Amino acid sequence: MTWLTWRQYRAQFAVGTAIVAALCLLLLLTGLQLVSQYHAIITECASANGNGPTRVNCSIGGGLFSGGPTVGFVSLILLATPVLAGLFLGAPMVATEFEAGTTQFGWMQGITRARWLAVKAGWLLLAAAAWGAGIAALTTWWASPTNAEHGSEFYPGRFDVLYLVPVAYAVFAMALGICAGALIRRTVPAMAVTLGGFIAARLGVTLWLRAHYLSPVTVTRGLLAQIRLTGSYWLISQGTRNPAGQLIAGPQDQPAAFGVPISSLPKACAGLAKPAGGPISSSAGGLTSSCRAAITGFRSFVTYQPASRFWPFQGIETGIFVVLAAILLAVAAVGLIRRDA
Amino acid sequence: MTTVIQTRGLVKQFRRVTALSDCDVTVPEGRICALIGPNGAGKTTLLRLLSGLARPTAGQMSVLGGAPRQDPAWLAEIGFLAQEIPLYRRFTADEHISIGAHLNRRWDAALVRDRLKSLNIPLDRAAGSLSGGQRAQLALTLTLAKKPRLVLLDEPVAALDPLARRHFLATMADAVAESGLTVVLSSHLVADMERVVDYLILLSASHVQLSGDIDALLAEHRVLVGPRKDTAAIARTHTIVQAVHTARQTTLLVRGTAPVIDPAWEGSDVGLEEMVLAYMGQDAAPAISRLTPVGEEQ
Repeated sequence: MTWLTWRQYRAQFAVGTAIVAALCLLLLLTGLQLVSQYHAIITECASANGNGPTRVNCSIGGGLFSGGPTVGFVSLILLATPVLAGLFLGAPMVATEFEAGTTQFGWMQGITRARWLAVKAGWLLLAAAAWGAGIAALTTWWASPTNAEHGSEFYPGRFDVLYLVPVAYAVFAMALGICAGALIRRTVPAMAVTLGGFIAARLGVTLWLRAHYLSPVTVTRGLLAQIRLTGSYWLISQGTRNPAGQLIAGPQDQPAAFGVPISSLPKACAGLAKPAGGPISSSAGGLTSSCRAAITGFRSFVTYQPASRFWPFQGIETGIFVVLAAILLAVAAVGLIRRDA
Repeated sequence: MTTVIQTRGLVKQFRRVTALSDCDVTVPEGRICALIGPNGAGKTTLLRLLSGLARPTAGQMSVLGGAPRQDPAWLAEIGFLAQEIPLYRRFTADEHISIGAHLNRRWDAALVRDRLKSLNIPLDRAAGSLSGGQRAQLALTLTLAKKPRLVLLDEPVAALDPLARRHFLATMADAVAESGLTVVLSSHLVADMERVVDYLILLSASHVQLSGDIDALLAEHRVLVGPRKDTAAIARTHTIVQAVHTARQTTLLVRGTAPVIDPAWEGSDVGLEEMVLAYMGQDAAPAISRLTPVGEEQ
């Protein structure tokens, strides 16, 4: 069966590996650029500050690494790659055999359908995992300067292309394709379902589920105290509540202090407003004592996932997609064995 | 006499359509059995049930000593060739031989190579580029290379020209003579295979109409020709399979070995095709059966 799988898929394995190699080349070229850019900025900044080649006291403009359409473009490609294997290898795996009638050939040889499926699916899943791991490893290296600069590795879009989870996505996409092909038995509809299912699962998990793997941490302080978060945390929400506990809408082109529109603050603090208009951030130094007393009941809060949870979250999400893949494969196996060929 | 196939009350239903109903068949070991029936009679369904590719809705079957199942030992004993001759289009004959060698414990690669060589079928060309006859021969040979005890062939000669048909049946007959396997092959025409088959299952409108040893069946049936008259007297001693009336005379196909006493009836032996067509005609619309004289091509 391994021989047959290899013979059937050697062209696809070659094409798949070529695509992965091309993507790796893209990552290498842009990654090397990012790294040299990063080091150039640090060196320049350090020499300006005269404190050696470290980042201490170096403030690098946020625009440097997030800019450049290449990074955004590569990130988009990386988000999409896992599904390709499921689309072009997984979905056709069983479906094309049904369409050509060759299941009636293969399943009348001296092996059971369960074994037929296990070996074929096993090799395809292994290929998906290998490709996924290759891309994920290179991406993690590629993204390290921008992550170091922006502390963004926990954010959706970044979290999804780093370390373990891309491997799990690739395995899941392959299993989804195999299952769709085994149940639908026609290649094109199975590919459509694979694409739709993958997007739905990824969006659903990223947008709704991921933030709740562990209940987020909320820090609450008075307006005058600063909330300092460290590392690559994931900010879920932040805001300010008035003494009555109501959430205050953020400033939208209104004069504001502490991130709160002046109009929402007590009258005693009206002096914080500057006539020029536009949002202004005021330091605590210019406060009158009456204003200081009036805002003690205001609380600002930050809800976030701390940086220390990055790895637990990677593990949980990997687990979710691996378990989903296992369920899909079990469904495919039951479908193939129970239903008429 | 060992039976290789025995089914009882086999039913297969696809949503609203009943493809096979209350099917009881028995096939003894070592026979070449023709499974005959018009298009849509349920031949493919029966073969797919016997092969284990499909599951019955109801009923029991014993094939090679047990129900068809996902068991390598059982699968090793059975060969099935579907009507569409499924082969991997891009694989050569040689690669198909390798597939078989990898997927079967018992595999006679030399047999395939020798047969294909003697038929001048190239081993190194993609199956998709072979002619229909060559593909059928390749597929049959691959089916036989498993060395099964039972081979099920679904309309194997339908797509073949007369010469290829003869080659195909000869290949199969050789294999039966060499190894004593049992073969069931379906067709909508018995004339295709009259020379090689010795057992018959006649399927029509999802029911088994007739089954048994062909010589015994022929001995039980007779054609009676006589003046047009009431057939009630004959019906008391014989089963009337088919009655065709013209203005002056009546032609009957009857089953039963009792002597016909009335001298007005002239009896004669029946041919296999004649008998088969008469049974198939039973289910056709009455108007058509009256227009179809016994013994003529439809």
